[in-house]
Amino acid sequence: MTILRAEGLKKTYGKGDSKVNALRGVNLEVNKGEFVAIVGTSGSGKSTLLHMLGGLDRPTEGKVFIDDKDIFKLKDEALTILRRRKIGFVFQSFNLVPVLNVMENILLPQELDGAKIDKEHIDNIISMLGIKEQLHKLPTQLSGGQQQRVAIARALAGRPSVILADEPTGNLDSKTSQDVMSLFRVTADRFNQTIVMITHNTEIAQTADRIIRIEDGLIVNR
Amino acid sequence: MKVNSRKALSRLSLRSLRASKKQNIITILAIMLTTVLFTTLFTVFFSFRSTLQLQQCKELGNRSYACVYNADEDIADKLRGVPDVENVGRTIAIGGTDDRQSVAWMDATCAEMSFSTLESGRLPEAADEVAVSRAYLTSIGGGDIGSEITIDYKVSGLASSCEISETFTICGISGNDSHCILVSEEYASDVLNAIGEDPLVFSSVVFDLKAPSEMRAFSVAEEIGVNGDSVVVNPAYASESDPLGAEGYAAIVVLMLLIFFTGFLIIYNIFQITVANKVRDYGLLKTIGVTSRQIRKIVRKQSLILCLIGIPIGLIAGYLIGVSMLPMVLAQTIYKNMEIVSGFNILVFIGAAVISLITVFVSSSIPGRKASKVSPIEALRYNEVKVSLRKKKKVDAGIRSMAMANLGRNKVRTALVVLSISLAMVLFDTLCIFVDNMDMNSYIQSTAPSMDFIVSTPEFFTGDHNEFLTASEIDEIASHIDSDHCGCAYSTLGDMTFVNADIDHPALVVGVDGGLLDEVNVVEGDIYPMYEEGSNDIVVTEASGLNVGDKVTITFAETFNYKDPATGTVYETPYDVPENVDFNNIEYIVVGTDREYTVCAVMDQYPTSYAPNYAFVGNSVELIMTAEQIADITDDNYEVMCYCADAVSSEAADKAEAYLQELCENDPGRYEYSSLETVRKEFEQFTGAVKYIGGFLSAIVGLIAVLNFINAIFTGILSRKRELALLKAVGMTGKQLKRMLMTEGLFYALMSVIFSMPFAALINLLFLKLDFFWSSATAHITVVPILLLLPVLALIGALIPYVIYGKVKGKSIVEDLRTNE
Repeated sequence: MTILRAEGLKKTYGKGDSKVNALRGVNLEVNKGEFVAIVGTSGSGKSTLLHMLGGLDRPTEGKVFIDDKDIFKLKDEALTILRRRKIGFVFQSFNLVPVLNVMENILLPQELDGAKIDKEHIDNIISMLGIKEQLHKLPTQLSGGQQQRVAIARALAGRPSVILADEPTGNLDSKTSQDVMSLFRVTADRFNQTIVMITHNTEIAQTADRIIRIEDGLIVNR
Repeated sequence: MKVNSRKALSRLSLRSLRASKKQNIITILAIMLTTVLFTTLFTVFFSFRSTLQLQQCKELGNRSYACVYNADEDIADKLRGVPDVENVGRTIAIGGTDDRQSVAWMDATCAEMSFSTLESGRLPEAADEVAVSRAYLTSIGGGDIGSEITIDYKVSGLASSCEISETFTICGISGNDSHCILVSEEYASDVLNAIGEDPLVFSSVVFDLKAPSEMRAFSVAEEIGVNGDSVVVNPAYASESDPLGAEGYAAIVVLMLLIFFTGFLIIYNIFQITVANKVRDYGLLKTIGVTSRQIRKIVRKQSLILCLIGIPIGLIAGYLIGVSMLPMVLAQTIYKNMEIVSGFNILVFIGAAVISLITVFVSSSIPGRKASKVSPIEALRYNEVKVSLRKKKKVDAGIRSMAMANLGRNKVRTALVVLSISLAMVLFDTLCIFVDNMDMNSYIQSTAPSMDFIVSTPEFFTGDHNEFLTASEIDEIASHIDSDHCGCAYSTLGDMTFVNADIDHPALVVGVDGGLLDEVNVVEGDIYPMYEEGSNDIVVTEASGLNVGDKVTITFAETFNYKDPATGTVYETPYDVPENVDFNNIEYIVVGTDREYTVCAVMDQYPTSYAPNYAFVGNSVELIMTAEQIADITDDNYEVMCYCADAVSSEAADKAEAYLQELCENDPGRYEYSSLETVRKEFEQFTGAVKYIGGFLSAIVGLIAVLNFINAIFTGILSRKRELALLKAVGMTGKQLKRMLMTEGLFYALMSVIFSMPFAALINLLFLKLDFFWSSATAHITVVPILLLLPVLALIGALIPYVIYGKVKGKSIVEDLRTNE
């Protein structure tokens, strides 16, 4: 079952001489439960693609469907709400809210939505990610690996249709990177969670079910 | 489930606030100072208003909000049943004495409303009992509870009037503010019945409204079935006699706008800077699903939390400052010795709080909107540095141009800080020019009378010619002033006088003793004929249109009536004329004593020493006659307006001054005087008030400007911590760095001074156009105060960055480089 679909995505930045074609027509389909890695070098357009898939930025041309819904038909406000309900983000720089503790960070998107919190589900995630001891600490008191676990927990908490991860191991050492990748793997398996991850590291990408290579704004093979 | 999201938002707002304590202190101070300004303004203006209202009420003898005429106990009962009506009281007015005491029965509430609350004893119950004021008792030569007094008074009924002389036993004594002689209800009814009048016609019910409003007063009457015509709102509260007047309210609006603008300048700037520094945080929140509306809510919640701390403190401080200013403001009015109403008015507080809140919300909502509009992607990349720094070859010039470029990075912030500082400087400069140009000599010239001492009752000085000094009082006063140039001026006010029997030309007649005739400034003709005994010459003002040699007939009116020429009907008062009769056709019948006079001289205006502070509206003839003439035409029915004297020597003047000062202090309700000394005191009081209020205003606005400045420098350094570390890493020494930051501060100071000078000059020019007490010959504009402020500003400008950088920088460059990552 297709859960995420991109059709003819194009994105152009700037004008005239400084015009950059970041994406030049990308078509992509991701099925439910699939763990996909998008691999490309710096400047290949992979981050732009992820931003489009997550509705963080609007494409110059083309469409993105999440659960068969054309997300760019939505206005900004509605798009934000869709984001917090259907998409979980994991960033290279973790992007935890520094003034909230771990537990508050994990619950924030759902609280903002006014949604009922599934205590059992959250407990499951926390124990799987091994951050039970850290729940009342502030992000600054955690190591990079721990922070990324919290970010993954936050992404998972709302049972999103898809998790989008932007270089999740970019700021971590190799041992921690492996830990985090295996967590992604477990997450995909145990929760049947759809994950789209971008990375420049082909070794890291091996953890995924499928690898998509992107070069100069185009997908080169499947 | 909505509760949940609100909780999460509150938590986010509160926590991120806590993370920036120093900035919060600045914001709270800014909110507090803005609230102080609003509260002080409201407190001063509205206490001023209530104080003057109370003063008017005292003059009218009643402070209840409204009155229903022809009303008895039945109507009073109905009024008591209306929920928003309070202090319902009843009275039956029967007449008045020659010394302006009204004779009436009042119940306890009405007595209180009429400033006649008893200090001792009780209200009259038996027909021969009476309650009077202590002041009245003193004026008739003393007495106490239980003693008998005889009161002569006049009852003016609808059909008839009569003089009554009655002996009562005193049963109660009221305070000095009272002008009432209280009798029993039984006595009042008996007197009216005895002369064939219906007591109901003289009965009225007074009442207060919990929320005073003229419309409500009439609708209350309607509710209880009373004709609106018989309801009268106390003129002291009527909107047309509002003591603040149109100018007063215009001043409030202008000041409110100024305060709003000052508050906006800093609060907007603070939030603007905070939002700019937190764009990354807001972007992050957006990626995880915080909507634009929720981000606006966060900013709003944060400003609300800061208001909750800043506004209450500001309200209390502003109230205290306002109360301390009030006496100075009141001293500028014509009234003396007023009872100051600085009552804790909850409306002032609510008003000031609400308007401060609006200021904060408006100021923070624009940055809040900006924060909410940030696209998540841009926010992730956001960096305040948008202008690339131009590299310069020379190190020294480099620092200066780098500092300049840094200010150029955030033009709005720089402009707001400069504007804020300039505002304070322009205010200060305007204050200085005011105090500098206020010239005592021109003030004295324009306000001081031409003679050394003018003595009269306070009423003469406020223009209410209804209380006069007696001949024996004048003798007593004259005996204490050593003078060879003195005399009295007399007035016929209280009775009408007309020129050539024409009611359109009432005459304002002042009679003077021969010694004061030389005060008249003659522009045409000759005043000497008036010195001759039995002279029938008078002096008129230029405005009268009369010329030297004209013969005029002056009528001292006993009665004047209105006649409808069509029907021949004569009406006693203008109110009796039926509505269908055209007033333009009405003729006037004046009956009285006629005398013919010759105009011997024309004067420009009344001499300042004995000019009546009174004028008729429309055409009138202002004239001066001799004391003999006024005695003759009025048949000795005239009053002493004032006593004027020039002292023979400066020692005599000092002695007289001391005597008069003591006289007036001992009985401020009866005597008042004017001299060079009192005018000088008024001048000092006035300039003192201007200095105090203007100083307060520029001090607070200046404080706000400094806060704005500190905030801009502080956040400027904080948000560039990493960049500054970078500069250090590539070889800029700590000294050079500090110099760069201090140069930035100096640029702020310099820009503010340059910006405010033409501005101040312009405002000064406009200000000097206003006709205050300065002579146009010496009045000048100046920007010297601003130049004097430059070193102070430069010092602050250099010192603040120096201190802040020392506090903000971390232990090592590496540590600083890591911040914001």
